[in-house]
Amino acid sequence: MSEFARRNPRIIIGGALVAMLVLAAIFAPLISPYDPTAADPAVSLEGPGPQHWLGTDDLGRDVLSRTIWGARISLSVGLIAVGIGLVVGVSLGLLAGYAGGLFDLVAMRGIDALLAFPALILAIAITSALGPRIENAMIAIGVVAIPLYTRLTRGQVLSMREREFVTAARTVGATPFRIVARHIFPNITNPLVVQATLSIAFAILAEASLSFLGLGSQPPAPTWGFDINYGQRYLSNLKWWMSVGPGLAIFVAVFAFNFLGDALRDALDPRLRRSV
Amino acid sequence: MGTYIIRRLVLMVPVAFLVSVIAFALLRLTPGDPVIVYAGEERDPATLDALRQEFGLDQPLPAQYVTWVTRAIRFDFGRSIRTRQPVAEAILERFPATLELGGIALVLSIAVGLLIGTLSALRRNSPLDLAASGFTLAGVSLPNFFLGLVLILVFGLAVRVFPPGGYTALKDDVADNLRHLVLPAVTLATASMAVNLRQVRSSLLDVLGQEYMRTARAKGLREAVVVARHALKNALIPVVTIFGLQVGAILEGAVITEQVFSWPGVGKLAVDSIAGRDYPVVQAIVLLSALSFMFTTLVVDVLYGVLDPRISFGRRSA
Amino acid sequence: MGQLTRRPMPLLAVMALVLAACAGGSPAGQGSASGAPAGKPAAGGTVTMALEDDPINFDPLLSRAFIDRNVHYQIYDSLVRIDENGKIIPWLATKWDIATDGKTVTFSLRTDVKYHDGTPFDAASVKWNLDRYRTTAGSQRSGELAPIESVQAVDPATVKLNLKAPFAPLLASLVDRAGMMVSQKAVEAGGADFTRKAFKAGTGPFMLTEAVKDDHITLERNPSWWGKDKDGNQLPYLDKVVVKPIKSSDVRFTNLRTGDAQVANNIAGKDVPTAKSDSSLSYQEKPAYSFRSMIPNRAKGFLFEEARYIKAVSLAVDRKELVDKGYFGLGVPGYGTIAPPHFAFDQGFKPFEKPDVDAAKKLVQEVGKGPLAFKFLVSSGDPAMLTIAQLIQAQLKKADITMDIEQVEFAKILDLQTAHTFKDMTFIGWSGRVDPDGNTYDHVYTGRPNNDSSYSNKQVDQLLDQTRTTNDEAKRKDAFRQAEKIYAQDDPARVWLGFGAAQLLTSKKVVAPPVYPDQIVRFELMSMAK
Repeated sequence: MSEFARRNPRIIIGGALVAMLVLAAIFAPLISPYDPTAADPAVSLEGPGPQHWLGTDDLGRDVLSRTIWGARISLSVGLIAVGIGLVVGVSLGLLAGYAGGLFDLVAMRGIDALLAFPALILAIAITSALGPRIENAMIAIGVVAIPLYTRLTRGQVLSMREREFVTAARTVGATPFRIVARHIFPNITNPLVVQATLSIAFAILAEASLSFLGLGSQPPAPTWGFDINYGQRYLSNLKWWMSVGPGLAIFVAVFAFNFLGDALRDALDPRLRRSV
Repeated sequence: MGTYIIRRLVLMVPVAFLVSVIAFALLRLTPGDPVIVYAGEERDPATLDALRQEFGLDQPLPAQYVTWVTRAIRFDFGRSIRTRQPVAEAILERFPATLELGGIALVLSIAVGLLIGTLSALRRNSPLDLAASGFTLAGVSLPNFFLGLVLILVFGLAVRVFPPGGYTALKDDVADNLRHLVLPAVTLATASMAVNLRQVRSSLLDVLGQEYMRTARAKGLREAVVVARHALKNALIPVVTIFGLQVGAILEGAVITEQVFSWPGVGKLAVDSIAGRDYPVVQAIVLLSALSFMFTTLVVDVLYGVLDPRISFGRRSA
Repeated sequence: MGQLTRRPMPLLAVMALVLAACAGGSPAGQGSASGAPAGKPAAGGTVTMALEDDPINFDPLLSRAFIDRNVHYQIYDSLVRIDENGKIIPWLATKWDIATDGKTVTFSLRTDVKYHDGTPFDAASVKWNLDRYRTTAGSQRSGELAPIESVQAVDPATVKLNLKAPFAPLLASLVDRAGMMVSQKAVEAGGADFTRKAFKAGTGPFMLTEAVKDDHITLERNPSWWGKDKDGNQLPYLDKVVVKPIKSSDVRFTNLRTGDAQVANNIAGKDVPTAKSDSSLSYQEKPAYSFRSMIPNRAKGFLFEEARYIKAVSLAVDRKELVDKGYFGLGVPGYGTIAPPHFAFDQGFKPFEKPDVDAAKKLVQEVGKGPLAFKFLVSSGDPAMLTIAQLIQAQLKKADITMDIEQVEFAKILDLQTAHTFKDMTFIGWSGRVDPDGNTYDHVYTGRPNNDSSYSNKQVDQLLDQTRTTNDEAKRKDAFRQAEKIYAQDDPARVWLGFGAAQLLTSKKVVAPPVYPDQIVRFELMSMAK
């Protein structure tokens, strides 16, 4: 372990940041000083102070508590959206890459079409179509992420398909499913892990953007993008704390996953490790 | 290369068809009757029916699609339900604002990315390099709407250096236009600036470590010449792809940035029109941006080949 | 996003049965600029208005957004207008006469008026305009003018409206877009583009000369406008008005503070204290016609078919706290549709003045189906509305009523409301009308288009019919008040929360006219400070 730590200090740092966020999300009920949804108009719009470290919003809710609880929704959106993109994208990529032929041609044109749309517009439209709720935001972000995984997987499968160990397996009569599962898939997990980590960062950003436009979570649930949007109208009164707390939280979360993703890429992808 | 381009163009036809179907269907599947949204507080049923008829919304969906596509091919996108402005005119009217914002942001992000990226690769681990790496990570992690709000707070409201939002046309007042441009352009440029910087730095480092660079240096060429003639050119190859992708990213970022700064561009028109269920406008914007993205990708791929003769177009999969 | 404008539309308040007294009165007769320095106001100057959105339709026939009217009132004159207290006054019509049977209305017209494009304004022109509004397919005005059977140009200065039946609120409709006069020549030349390019098309104090979507609109002084101020000076004083659409309330307000704009008529409540204390600005406010309400679905099979539940919610809501904390003091608590500037407004009607948590609990118990829990649909992307909703949520909790807020896109809420299929309650404002009829009839009369709560009460229907058929103001007032007690209190159609406010924020660089309850800025009365 210490050897690993010495060789990959960035993975340790990134991992620690992510772990911190996950712990904050899990233990939100224990560590946040107030109920994040309890309105108390008597203490509305108070600036940061000893009672409320990050101040209160216009309903008198504690900004710090909302920011801590916000980690729950943001992280689960990140994980689930990426999970959707990963499962659908990888299956499609494996199928297309291994089966080839007409299926490959049709599937990849579909992927091209999906890829042609500006991701955010697509996500906005899908969320609008399904209705503005957090589950639908997850689906929309997941769908937008599918092409990435399909292309990545398919490319890897194509390059792997004619490798010796695969042709060898084929000659001894292994079923296509077995070949994919036992020989190809294990060889593409590294780039997928790297991509998934980076995608979580993207998904957190995307959820924040959707919530910012009013298409994400439902009130009074605390989420970062939503709270920034909710608090931003008080900026002109120089009551900045309502937006700054959740804004920094997004920044830290996205930073953590980007940092970890980069470190993983350097460690797991031997081709790139040399270069940077 | 000619055959490669033709092959790619042929493959684009079915994709364009799919894209048009998705563009058409996206909003139709969304609850919300454009005519009722349009009518607002005036909800006389007979008037609503007359409006539906006027905009062909009483026709079956496939018929509406066919009408729309056949007109769209001739660049006729109909009229906006909300404003009755011809859609093409509405988009063209807002295009200069988006082009200005996106263009400046793109130039800013590429210029800074190239300059700082090169410097930090050459002076690895110098304070500049460390600062640049820090900026890189921060830049891609900062949501642009949040960055925009912080800039508004600091430079628009606390210290009133720049207006907190709004727009003045370039032709009306150049100075005022630029004053309004600064904050949104910086907001929009930051993320892609970070990506570009990282890419320039890492591909330059990659190239600098290569065999032929050592050879060039061993031949006694001056460092500046080595960098300019050999390293940068080779390092640019992956960078061009990233720049190409940045065009898309910036257009996308413009959607939010325009919203935050009340910048009257195409992105803002799109978001407002989605909310207002203005089918003709949304369909046209989505279709046009998807098509232009497809062409950008093609151009980038071709450029890639021009810069790197090692790539043979015949074998690359689309 | 596009929630319905929560602002008033004019309509007439008073049914002047008798001839309007001040025949030939000047437009400024009633409203000299408040606090204006003595002597002749400065002539000339350009002001910029920061407007909350881009006007959509300059053609009154197509217009259905409040925002449009900010420009309409500058470029068009209508047959009648309201004064700053909401009383109907002569405008293009110098006087009007309603027959005793209420079935004809005769207008005498000004004879010194020309459209901006030089064509004359006369009775034929009035007939053409009203017929266009009444009969064009897709006209947004046909509903308001439906009671008219025919329009008759008696002579160039007299026009007669023959009605199908007596219809008291008609005159109020003619205050606004249904009574606005547009040049036939301009309409016919403009075709489909007229509504975006209504250049020099009206008779109003300003002419539309430039309109760039989402950017700016230029209104130039009409040098031969017919209006004079009370000292006989030619109106308007200003040379030019530039209207800039700025959606963000913060940016609008900042523009006023930095001097980039001089006029705004809609700023957020949270900024009002700052506006009042800023020595470079002057701020005016008065009650408006607009109301705020929670709309339950009373249709069969839905939760709020049970009227006692609606009453329980009404009892549990603390309206004063909503105004203070949610609207930052903007507006007043209210319990029905009839607003303070309406002639029928009843100061003493305060059925739910203080929240009564116990009475609410008791009503829910009386129904006997366990605790009350319901869904409240709020338009997404509107944080200000959300604040109100969450305040209500906290208030209801005290009465053990669980209200789940659900953000839904505005477009979808409208769909659900029109189809009467929404679950439980929605929250959308009403911009208000000059006559109480416009605030009431279509909202609570059985089967009417804006009756989103599917409300039906025979007695209410009868009373409201009376308010339409009689022109006697006292009788109308009485019927309106009786009806309001039923649909707002005894058998509630909605949970009304309060009324909005009309605002006018101006730079001290201009001399501001008074604020009007319809919230439209009277630029013809504005001048630069000396």
